[in-house]
Amino acid sequence: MRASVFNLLFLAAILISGLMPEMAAGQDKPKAETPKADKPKAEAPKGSAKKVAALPKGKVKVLEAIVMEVKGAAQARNKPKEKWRKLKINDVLKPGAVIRTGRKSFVALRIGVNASVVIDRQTRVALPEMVQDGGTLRTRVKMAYGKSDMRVDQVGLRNDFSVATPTATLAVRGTAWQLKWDAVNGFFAVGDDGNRIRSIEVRYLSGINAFLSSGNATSSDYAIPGIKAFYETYVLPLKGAIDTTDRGPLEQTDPGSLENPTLTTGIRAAQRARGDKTQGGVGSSGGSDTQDR
Amino acid sequence: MGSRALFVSALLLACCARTTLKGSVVDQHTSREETTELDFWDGLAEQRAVSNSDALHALILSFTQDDSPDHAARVLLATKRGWIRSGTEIPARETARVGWVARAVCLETGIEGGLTMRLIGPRQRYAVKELNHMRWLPEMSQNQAVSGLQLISVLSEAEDHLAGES
Repeated sequence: MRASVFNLLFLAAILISGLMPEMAAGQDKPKAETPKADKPKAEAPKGSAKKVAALPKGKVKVLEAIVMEVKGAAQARNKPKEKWRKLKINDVLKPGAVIRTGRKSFVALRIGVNASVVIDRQTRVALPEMVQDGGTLRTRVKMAYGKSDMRVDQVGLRNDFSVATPTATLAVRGTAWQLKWDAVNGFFAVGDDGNRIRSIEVRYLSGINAFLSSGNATSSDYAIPGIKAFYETYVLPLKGAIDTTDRGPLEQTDPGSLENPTLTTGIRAAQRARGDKTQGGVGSSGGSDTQDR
Repeated sequence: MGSRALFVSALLLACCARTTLKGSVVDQHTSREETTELDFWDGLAEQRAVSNSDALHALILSFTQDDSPDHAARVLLATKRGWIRSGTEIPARETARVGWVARAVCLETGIEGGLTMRLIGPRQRYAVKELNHMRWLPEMSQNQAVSGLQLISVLSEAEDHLAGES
């Protein structure tokens, strides 16, 4: 009996303590109604990469393609007379790159800021153009033969994405499809294998997430390093090379290198944008850097 | 009259003989490295007609592992797997026939075909007809030559079929 009375008193105390601040706020603050027109418009969440800012008219930014996943024999070269290099995750392909895959192989790419492509078995693909021209994302893909799954996202800009095959050219504004070209049946386009592309994207993200959640990320100022990793990897590497202009002309970088500086550069760009002055960012614990892995 | 008959018969004989190619892609890309293999496929894609040696190498790469040092070893392996009958002559530089390529593909992918093919086995004639029907090699006949891109196409279809995608 004594215990039940004590319990009742305890519950009452909790209720009163919970209501008190609201009551106090209600008494202190005058009810000032702000006109609806003055309310700020709801903005897209900052973590979302669904919107990409347009460049000033006439300004062109060269974009890159990032390798998200590789299986089997997949090689690329940036220039026609270069030696073929084996592709690996986070390699960067510049405009003009040619990709080839062998039997039982595929390579998944994030092209620029708006497209994901899975280049399937026995395929030859070239990426002659990947640019953001003002408010237009222009991408040209040439497929000599083979099979590819492609998805073009709507990111708030005009999409000008086209795939040229020996017999037909497909231009899209924003959709997903599987394209096949062979010498027997020619051009063949069907609905996409969307789950495959998305699962590759998730695997790519989770791979980075696992790395950043390891000891290299313990100095993060976020309570859960994985959240920080997801924020930065989703916005920056997966959604395209956002910081290519900071690195100067492409000729200044090592032309033969397929290593990805975007990951590190992108994280630093995010830190700058956030005004993060702490030295111990993601991947910088113990003097190591994200690229040092 | 006699000379004309001789000319016609010589012409017929020439038409029946298969074309012999000058070079072979597999001779330039023999090692088993990844780059070499991809170079082989690139080279094959440029061939308007594939030689027996190249076709055998491509088929062996697709369905087994090619450790064969030369054409004779490839022919031996193909005979063991039932792609060609023992004793059949397959000159290395001669253009490959659609017939034996179709038979090899049907055997390796487990395509059983229709009633006739099930009754008498995957003869070249019926293997070609089956691949015609499946649109892997549409409108092609048994004695036609096969181009590099056509061979890559049919082998890619076979790979998809084995992976359960088609």
